[in-house]
Amino acid sequence: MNTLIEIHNLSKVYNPKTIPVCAVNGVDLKIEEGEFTALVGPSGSGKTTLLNLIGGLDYPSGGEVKIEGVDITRMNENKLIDFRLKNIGFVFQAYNLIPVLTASENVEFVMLMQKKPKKERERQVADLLIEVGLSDKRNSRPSELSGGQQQRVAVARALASKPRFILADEPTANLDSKSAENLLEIMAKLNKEDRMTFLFSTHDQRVIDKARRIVTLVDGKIVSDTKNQPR
Amino acid sequence: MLFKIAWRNIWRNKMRSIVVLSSVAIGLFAGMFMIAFFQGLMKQEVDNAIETQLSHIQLHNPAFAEDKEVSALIETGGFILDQLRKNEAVKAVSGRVVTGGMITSSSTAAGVEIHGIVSGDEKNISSVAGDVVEGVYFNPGKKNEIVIGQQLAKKLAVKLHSKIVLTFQTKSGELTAGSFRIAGIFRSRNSAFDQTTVFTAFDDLALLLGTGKEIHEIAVLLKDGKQADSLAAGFKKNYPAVQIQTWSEIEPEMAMLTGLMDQMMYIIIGIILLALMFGIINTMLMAVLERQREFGMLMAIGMNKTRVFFMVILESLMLTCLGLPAGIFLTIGCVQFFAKKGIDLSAFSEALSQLGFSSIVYPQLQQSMFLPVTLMTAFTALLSAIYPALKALKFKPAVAIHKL
Amino acid sequence: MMYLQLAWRNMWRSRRRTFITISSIFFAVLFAILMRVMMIGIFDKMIADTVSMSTGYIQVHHSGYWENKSIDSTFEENPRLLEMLNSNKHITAWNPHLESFALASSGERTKGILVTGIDPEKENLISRLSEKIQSGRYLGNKDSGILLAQGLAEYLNLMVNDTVVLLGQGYQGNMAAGKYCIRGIAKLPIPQMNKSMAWLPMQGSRDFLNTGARYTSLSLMVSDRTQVDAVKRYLLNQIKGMSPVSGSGRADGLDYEIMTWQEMLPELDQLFQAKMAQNVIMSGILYLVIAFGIFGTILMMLNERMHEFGILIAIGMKKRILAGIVVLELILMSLTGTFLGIAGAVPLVLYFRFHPIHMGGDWARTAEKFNFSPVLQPSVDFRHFIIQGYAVLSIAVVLSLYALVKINRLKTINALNS
Repeated sequence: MNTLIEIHNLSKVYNPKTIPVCAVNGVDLKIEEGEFTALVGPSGSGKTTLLNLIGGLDYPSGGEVKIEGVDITRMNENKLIDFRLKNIGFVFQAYNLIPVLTASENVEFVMLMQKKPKKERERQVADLLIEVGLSDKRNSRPSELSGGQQQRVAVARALASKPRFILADEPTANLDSKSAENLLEIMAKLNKEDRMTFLFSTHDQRVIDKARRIVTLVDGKIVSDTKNQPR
Repeated sequence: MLFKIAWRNIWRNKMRSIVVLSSVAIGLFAGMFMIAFFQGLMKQEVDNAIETQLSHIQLHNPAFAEDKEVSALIETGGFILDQLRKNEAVKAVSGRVVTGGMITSSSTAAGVEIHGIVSGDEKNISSVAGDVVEGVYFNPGKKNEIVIGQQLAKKLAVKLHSKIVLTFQTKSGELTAGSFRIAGIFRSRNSAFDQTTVFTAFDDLALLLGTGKEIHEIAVLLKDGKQADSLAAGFKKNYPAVQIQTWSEIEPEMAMLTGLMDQMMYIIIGIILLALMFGIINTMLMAVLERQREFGMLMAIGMNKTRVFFMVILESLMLTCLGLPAGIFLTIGCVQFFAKKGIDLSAFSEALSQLGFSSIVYPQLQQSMFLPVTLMTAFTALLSAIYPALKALKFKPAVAIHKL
Repeated sequence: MMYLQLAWRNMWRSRRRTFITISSIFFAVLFAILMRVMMIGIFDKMIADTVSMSTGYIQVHHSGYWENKSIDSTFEENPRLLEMLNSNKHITAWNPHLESFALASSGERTKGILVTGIDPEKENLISRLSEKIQSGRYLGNKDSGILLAQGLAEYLNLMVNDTVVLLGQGYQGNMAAGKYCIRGIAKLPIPQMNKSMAWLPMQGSRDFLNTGARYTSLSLMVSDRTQVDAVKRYLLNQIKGMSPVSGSGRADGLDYEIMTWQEMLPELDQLFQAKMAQNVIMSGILYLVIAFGIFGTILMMLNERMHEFGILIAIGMKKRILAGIVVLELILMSLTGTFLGIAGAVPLVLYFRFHPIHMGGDWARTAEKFNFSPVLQPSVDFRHFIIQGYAVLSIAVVLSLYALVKINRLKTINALNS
């Protein structure tokens, strides 16, 4: 089993000069390929911050984040962007999609940035949309899709760049039960069949139930790291 | 793809796009209309002087320009006059006898320049005929009539049909005088001209002067005023013994004025473009800041900084490309409208309207100005886009995304 | 008052936004002022240059002199009058002339000319006559010689140190005659003047015309074109009680006439009025561009705060009041921008005042021929700053009212979702 993500003594302090808030406080963590893991904890526990740091969306105050051996905390912004493009997929809580592009264009977008040839793009977009069950909505703009549908397109988009893993920050927070169920099924299927690694940050029980590993954070520290039988 | 996104992004917020687009259009319009206005102004001032007294080209005996000596007549003047009449570039010619003298009424005397003219010819060359406010510009057949300016009439305390006496030196050096009846009173836009110039019939004056059919001054009005310099050069070759002057040589202050206007124009346009630039910068800046979250998302999923920068610039570019033609249409429309109707300056200046002169300006646009102004405006608009675009790059994805 | 406080604090909540809005007004005011003072400065110079070469801003004569220009219409040198001129702080210089027509003869040729008695120092201050000397030298105060214009000297075929004879009509009908040695020859840019002018020192002219201590005119330069009417009124007031002609018995000052440049040079005035009118149009166009810029900023600012407005209305704030506070904010920002703009314009304009823009080209060459310095220099009349600031402020305030429209039309639920 490959170690995808390796974190040593990671910490992040906001407002160090005024009112210091220690969002992440000396975290050590290893994520292996194929995991379906949830980061849980109450609001303010630092799980979103931790996810940001793993995804290279922010720089830590201390410690390091290694993705397949590469220390991303040393990269400059431009290199980070490029790294993310090639290696990390994101699904945010909301506002995942480019509002002026259709579903298929949104999925195609990352492939364009990777300069994939046209035939390959078209084929992949079609495949991905089928996988998330939204082929019929391929020409719809985000404003024409329901919340659940938008999130599914986001997943397709995240997959399009063939990332090493996908980070999802509260992906089900705005969804009703059925949509959430749908979304999680798709993600679980991807994890099982394609061995796509998923790391969630969530406090949605529905997500936690489906996870195989649960890492609990309180006040920026890991307080428990347990295996789970998904339901 | 970036083009597609930029284009569609423009239409997301219609109000904003329309405002920026309109700003560009208005900026272009302002610059071009200003130029058209200035061109119209300059033309008005120059034309004024040309039509009232200078004409495009004047011919004299070289000795005449010195002291207006009666004997300084143009050699073969009549012949030259006929030749000029036949010249295709010439719109009208008029031959005159001119002398300095004194005009007296029962109350006062004044020094004047007396023009002996052929009213048929003179009408086509000088606007004085049209500026007659009382009486007529010479009755055909009547002798010893005179047309004087309104200011002069007031000074002499005379009215229409009053009699005045002109005193001047003849060709042979003696002093002579003639009595004339005021047939018409004119008011031109140049009050100095009004006060010091009087018109009589060529034959009447020539008889008194003893100059016969000979001519002191030939004034030429051209079909195309811009050809004045080249045509004058041509005349100089044909008539080497004659002194030939263009209007700008006769009255250099006029040229100075037009030169001044040119320089002023560049400064004004510079200021307008600066105002445009700041207007656009502010609007685009706000727009970019509003889309913080979106930019953060784009950078998160892998859009590098160059692409983000380019996308913002593209949006501005497209808006500019839309705004420019709108500006051009607006300009053409307005210029055409006002070119016919004219802009009445006295509506903006109480003092002007009191002076009684309707100073109407007809804006004119040279084709050659279109391109430079358009390019300058486009350049300004794009320059304005740079700062906001750079700002967009400064967003940190983490902060941007989670900013709710 | 609470609303004012709310508005003020709101402004500082998002400093960036406030800063952007204020700066859009700031630049608008700056540019409006810049354009106006440049234009006015150019007109001022145009007039100053012209009057300094000819009539001055104001002239004092014996009444009726301007009309008939007769040598008998002279007035006495009156020490009280001169002292009054010296003491008025707006009068920067005064220049006496004793002018008359005369015939100048070199023996071979004769020409009618205008001979002017001048105070050489004072004359030079205003018209810089000594700079126009081509050969020989300028006149001294007690000089017995004469200065001729170049065209005249050429016509008469005379050079420096030659003698010229003047014949004319003197005071009260006496014949005036004199022989003068040519001290210098000056070139005037205007051809007509260049062929017909000569200058004597004041005493020389008085001796020639036998007038005693009299003048035909006093030309005055003032510090500022806009002061001309005020100075004229002042003079009119003060001269009641001075009589220009001894023995006339009049003490009501009506023996004097005081004329402004507008009365003496009506074409220049006409030109000036026309230029002012043009100025209005050009300012109008600038305002248009400015208005769009400001409107864009206001629009975006409102857009950005839609969500905030939604929340406020949802929790119970009346739309009217919210709109009022927002408009108040905009007005406060406009006021700040205007003050800053005016303040910012001051150093900028002063800089250009002391480092005027040098022009080139044909115009510069012609201007130099006339001894005008070819520069563009702004006016520093502070009233223009205020007026332009006020104009832009008004535009901004009117545009701010759009906030009322937008907030009134707002649908709460849409606002909350933005």
